[in-house]
Amino acid sequence: MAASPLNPAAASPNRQKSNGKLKALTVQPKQSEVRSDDEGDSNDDAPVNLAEKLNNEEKRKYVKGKKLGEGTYAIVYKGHLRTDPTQLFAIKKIKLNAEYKDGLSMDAIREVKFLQELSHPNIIPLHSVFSTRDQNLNLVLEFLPLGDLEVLIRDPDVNYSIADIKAWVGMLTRAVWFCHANGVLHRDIKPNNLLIAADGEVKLADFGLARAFADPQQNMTYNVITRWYRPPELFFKARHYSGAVDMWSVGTVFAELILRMPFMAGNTDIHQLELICQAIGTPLEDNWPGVSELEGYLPFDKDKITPVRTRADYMSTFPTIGSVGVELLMSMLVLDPQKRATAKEVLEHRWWAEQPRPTEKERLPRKAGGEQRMGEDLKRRGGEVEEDGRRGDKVAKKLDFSSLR
Amino acid sequence: MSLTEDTLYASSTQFRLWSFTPEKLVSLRAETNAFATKNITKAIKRARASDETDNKEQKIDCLTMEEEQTLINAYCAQLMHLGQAKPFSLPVSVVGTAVQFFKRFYLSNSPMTYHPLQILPATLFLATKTESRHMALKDFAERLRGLTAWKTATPDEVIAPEFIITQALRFSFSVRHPYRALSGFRLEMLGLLEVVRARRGPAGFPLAVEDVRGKLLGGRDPEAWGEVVQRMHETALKYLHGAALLSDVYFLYAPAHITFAALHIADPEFTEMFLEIPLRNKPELKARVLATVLACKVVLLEAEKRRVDKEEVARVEAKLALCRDPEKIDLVGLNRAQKRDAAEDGQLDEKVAKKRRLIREKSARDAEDLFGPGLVGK
Repeated sequence: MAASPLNPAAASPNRQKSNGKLKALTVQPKQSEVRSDDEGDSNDDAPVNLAEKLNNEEKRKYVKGKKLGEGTYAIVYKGHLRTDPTQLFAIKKIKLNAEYKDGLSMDAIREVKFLQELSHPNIIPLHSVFSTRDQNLNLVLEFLPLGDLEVLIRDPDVNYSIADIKAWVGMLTRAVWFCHANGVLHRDIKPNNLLIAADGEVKLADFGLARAFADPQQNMTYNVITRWYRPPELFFKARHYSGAVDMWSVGTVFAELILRMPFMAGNTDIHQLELICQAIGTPLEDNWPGVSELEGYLPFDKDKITPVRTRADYMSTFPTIGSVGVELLMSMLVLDPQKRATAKEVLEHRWWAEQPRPTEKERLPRKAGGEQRMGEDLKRRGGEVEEDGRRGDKVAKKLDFSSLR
Repeated sequence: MSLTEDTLYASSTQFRLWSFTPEKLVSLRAETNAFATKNITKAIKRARASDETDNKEQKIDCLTMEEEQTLINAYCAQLMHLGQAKPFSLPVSVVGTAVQFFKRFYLSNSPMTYHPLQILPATLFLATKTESRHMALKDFAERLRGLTAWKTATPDEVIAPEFIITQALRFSFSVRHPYRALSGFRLEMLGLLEVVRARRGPAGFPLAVEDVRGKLLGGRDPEAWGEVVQRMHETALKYLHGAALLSDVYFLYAPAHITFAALHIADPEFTEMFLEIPLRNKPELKARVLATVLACKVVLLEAEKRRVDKEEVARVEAKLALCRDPEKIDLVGLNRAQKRDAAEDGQLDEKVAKKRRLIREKSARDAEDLFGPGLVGK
């Protein structure tokens, strides 16, 4: 899967494909449409350029329906195709912030940039983007009426099995693998960003904190990922990191699915780090070479050091997934990001082949009334806190743009 | 569970929305020019109708498509310089993204509607945001003001066209550059050197060591290989950082084609030998790949030779001064009006908002007639 110019496919000309593609290409309006505006007419209604014209056509394809949720960042509407009201969508209208002086916000740019490029069954599809004349951006997303994984985890009336967990974690990992294969870090994986489609498929959403892999010398911000799902290297202010940060989050979501409560629910960053030390082990040079050189690393008291948890420890905390399952979970929760399993390694693990087999997506447990939940989930800005403050899972939201590298 | 680079590229917006055949590219530009010519002629006539002193009989002489290209190319070069030189000193990938945004913008817009000087800083600012090199708009404008050509630039002027740019970009912000392919080439080559040294290939390696020695090296000393690769890399990079960005190759070819074209310029023999490794049993495919690479090379070489003809640019600039869309000169005012509509009332019926906007625009136009045109982009 490496990007190799030696791969014949990589070098194969796209000419052939372009022919098919050109038909779909809509930049060029039909001649008749361009000319339809007769000489001498007032042209106040005529688009200024071809791009605006295309945008208007796109906008006309959809009808906005009832509001599903509203936050400070976006309003989410239920919508449908003008020509076919049974084709449902969620239309996320990103609010234009008159106070924000720097133009289109970084959250909006990131979300649109990456969703436009990533097309995968386990990533929320972006069907269209259009703007209204008042400069609001509208994202036409797949309608996902069954809520999110957090709802299922928390609802005591919902029962689910290991086979179900296997299906969900599998779908999540495939989404993450695809992001990483495309050079994209998600940086905010958590249960309420995992929405559930009508057919049971899990869809990774909210790319407001995503970014492309950095060039080797380029710094990145460590102020990402919601606290409970954030890996130790980010608490130590690592400025160079990889897909391993997302894999830690996958591990914590996996653990949460099993426990039916957050695995490590810290109230503050310091508390979170303590919980990591207790549950996983204290990060030290011998289990993580180089860790003490990270900017935010503080030496731990000798008498407070917890050795890295053994498989037996994990077996007692997560007895239901068996020793192979525990092995997989442990591989994602390795302190040293260099030794943490990659998405590809996780997908190649023998746990998937072991009994029970993952549940088919159509037969996964579900819960009705997820429409509003989708509205709630999508209205948030990347990493935004729930408004009622119910959860202590703040992502560092004070985005310091100067440090966003 | 395997993704080839080709599959990934095929789902990218660069391929889906921004790749064209040469003929298609020309026809798009011709249409944009025709569309703008018609609209601007009308707009100028409207403006003249309210101006008693104007000579209504004077011919409205719009730019041709070729003149538009002359201007766009000249400003692309300026944009490259602006981004890379102090005080911005941005990496070429960021500036290259800005240049592609600029070129994509002018596929559907004419310089007669939006003067390149108005658009240029906004594309650079947008690229810093999309490429994770964001700085505050205030800082950006301040740096810009340090340059003679921009000494009066305000944050409002920089940001005003951002929205129309994002719309023209069809809200696709990803630009795929050929640099990764070039790095890949270098790594492959250094890997091959190891093959020769170790006298055997890694598992599944398709060539015999003798073939690598004989065909690829053509009798050259393997120990000199590192140097050859380094030299090719440097030459290719020079083309990727210059001619590739300023020409139309991003619209016409995939990143890997562009890389191979640049490598072919650096060392044709070596590059063709290299292509032989994966394609040696597929003569038809090889012929097709090579034909594409060679066509791309022609475009690169032409762009490399091209020099900005200052006299011609000055002539076109002078001509442009007489055929600009009078309604699009004050972008700051237009942008402010639209934002005001949005902020005033999110629920505002669009028709009402539009009516208000038109009234405001008209009064702004009238004011402009009184006080003379805005200074933006002069």
